Amino acid sequence: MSNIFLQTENPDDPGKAGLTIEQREVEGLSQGTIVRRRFLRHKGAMISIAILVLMVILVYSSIGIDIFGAHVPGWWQWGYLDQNAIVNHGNPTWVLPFNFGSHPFGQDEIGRDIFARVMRGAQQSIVVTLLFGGISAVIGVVIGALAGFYRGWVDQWLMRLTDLFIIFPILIIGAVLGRALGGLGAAALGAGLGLLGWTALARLVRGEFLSLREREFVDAARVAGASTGRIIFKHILPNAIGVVIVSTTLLMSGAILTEAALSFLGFGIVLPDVSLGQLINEYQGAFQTRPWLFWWPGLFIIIIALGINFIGDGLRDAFDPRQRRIPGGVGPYRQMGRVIAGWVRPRPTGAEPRSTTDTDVL
Amino acid sequence: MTVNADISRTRLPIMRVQNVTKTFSTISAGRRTHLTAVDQLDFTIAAGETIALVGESGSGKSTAAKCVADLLAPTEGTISMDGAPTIRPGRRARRRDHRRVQLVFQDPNGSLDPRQTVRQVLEEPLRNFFGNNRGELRRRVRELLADVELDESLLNRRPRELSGGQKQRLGLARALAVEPEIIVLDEPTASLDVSTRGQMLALLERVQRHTDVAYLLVSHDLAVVQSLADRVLVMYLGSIIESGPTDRVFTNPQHPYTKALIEAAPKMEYRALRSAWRLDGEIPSPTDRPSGCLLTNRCPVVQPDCHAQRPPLVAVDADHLSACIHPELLSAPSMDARTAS
Repeated sequence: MSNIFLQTENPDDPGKAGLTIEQREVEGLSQGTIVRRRFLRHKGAMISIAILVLMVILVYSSIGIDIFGAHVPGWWQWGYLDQNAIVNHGNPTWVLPFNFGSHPFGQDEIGRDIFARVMRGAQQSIVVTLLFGGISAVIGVVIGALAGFYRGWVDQWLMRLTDLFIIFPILIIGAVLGRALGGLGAAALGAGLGLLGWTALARLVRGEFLSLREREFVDAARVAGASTGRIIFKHILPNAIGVVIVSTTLLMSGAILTEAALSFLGFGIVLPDVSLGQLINEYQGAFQTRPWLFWWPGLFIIIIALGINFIGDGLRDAFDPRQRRIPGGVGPYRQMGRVIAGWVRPRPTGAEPRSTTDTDVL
Repeated sequence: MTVNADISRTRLPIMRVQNVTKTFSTISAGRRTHLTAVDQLDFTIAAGETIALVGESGSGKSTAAKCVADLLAPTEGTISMDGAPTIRPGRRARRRDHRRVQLVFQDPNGSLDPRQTVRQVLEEPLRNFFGNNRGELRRRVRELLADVELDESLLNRRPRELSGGQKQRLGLARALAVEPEIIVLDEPTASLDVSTRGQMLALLERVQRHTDVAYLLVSHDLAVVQSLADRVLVMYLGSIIESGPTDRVFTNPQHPYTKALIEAAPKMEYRALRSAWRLDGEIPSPTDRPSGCLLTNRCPVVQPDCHAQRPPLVAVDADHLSACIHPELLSAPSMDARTAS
């Protein structure tokens, strides 16, 4: 890595002399390499990815997973529906740091293991999030791109359609569907939310396309003989990708909360299955007496939602062509991340390039 | 066909622009108004020649250039190449017609996709028009870079890693990629500083000598026009008000607007030559064009009969046309003419 920074000006190549350090740093790299390199240096995103990956491994390996009816067992001793003898009055048996005991997160009043139940709930939340993100991103991008690029009556119709979907209250539709179908599985819930939740993304993408299509490089591509499809997908969409990724990640963390809300109200994932929101609902009566029944599902909701937000932040910085500096340790999310992580980054000693055009330098 | 390279004016035109009019309708204060950006534009371009469209901001020269480059469909009129109309009112040309007319944009920052490398920028037109043969693509990209005197080490750079002059030359290379017959140069040097401007002009001349491409130069920089153009079309408020060979238009302008334009250009002997011959006020709104001569509200020697009707372009001498009915007043330039009238 250091050779990039220490590279001296090459007298044989006068073209290089005028480059700033930031320009030289990204010179000759493909777009994918630059994005990947910037993303990998984004500490908030990297920490979030590490935490989320560990969490996913924990969540799926501990209680196992059901694939098409076949159960792959995990290493945790209790299932999420098993009723066990109550140990320690249901209090968490976890004594910091490493003495977990038999029920580290505690038990509810009929002896079910909260750790297993939270793991199951997190599994459901992950399924809902991924399905929701994927489906709403595809729909939102296609509708927003068509409306913004073609304008005119296409735009009119697509935006009225979007307005129509915006006025659907997701919670109520989810509640009605959940009621009619007797509760939704995680997959159905995620897909259903995705079919309704693309509206904000479509509007953002439309706005981005409206502005980008007026840029001269679109005219230039047309003069260079590019087809309309090529202009949309090769020239405009890559320049709008930051908006897509950031708002999709925000939508995904929103989806976790929506799922939690629906399940809390009893319309999403219902008994006997478990989700994080449904756990909170089920144990709301125990708020005074057994608060740990609350803490654990709440903690996992926060970890997932926050982690996805951090990753979106890192991706946006990585994709932004105007961002010259490799993102370092400042900026609102990252500051928050530092506070949360309780970790203070030492000042770089000349190794890290600083751009004078940066606005977010403290 | 016996074409003598020395007398390019006798060459057959490759593009004929006939009566091209472009109006935009806008809604202001609740009322629909029509804005005439280009009115009855009429000219031809022959192979290997350079025609300049000059005029101040708002004179419609950029709109005219966009019509020629098929980025805007004209409201009326046709543009034909080799006698066959390619662009008709409200209709754009087919994609393959872009092979014949290319465009170099004014702003190289906006006209290059920030995500494309130099190689991708140059491969784009080649792929679109000639297919994907890899070896062929590599060879052509090298050639193009050499044509515009860019170093091959720049191939993997992105636009923001290039200097202004390099970007503008890349824009020219992209236009040259499809071996066009006409290149529209929209203010090719406006974004460059003086030292790179000279290089760019020399490069444009060299390219023209090698490829026999015709230029339609759009500029308000008269020095650039004078050094490149064979013929000049002076536009004011959407109409051509004077046209002719560059040297004759510059030494002997036949329209008060042209004269004012030339005298307004900064010169070395700035103070001495700054004459009383200048236009006051602003260019009128193209939604509300004067009914007589377009210049009536600004002309220093306006006469009562100037308001009567729009003066036609008439020949002053061979292929030097002007739309002024009182050219005799130009030779006695003084404020007296204005105070007398």
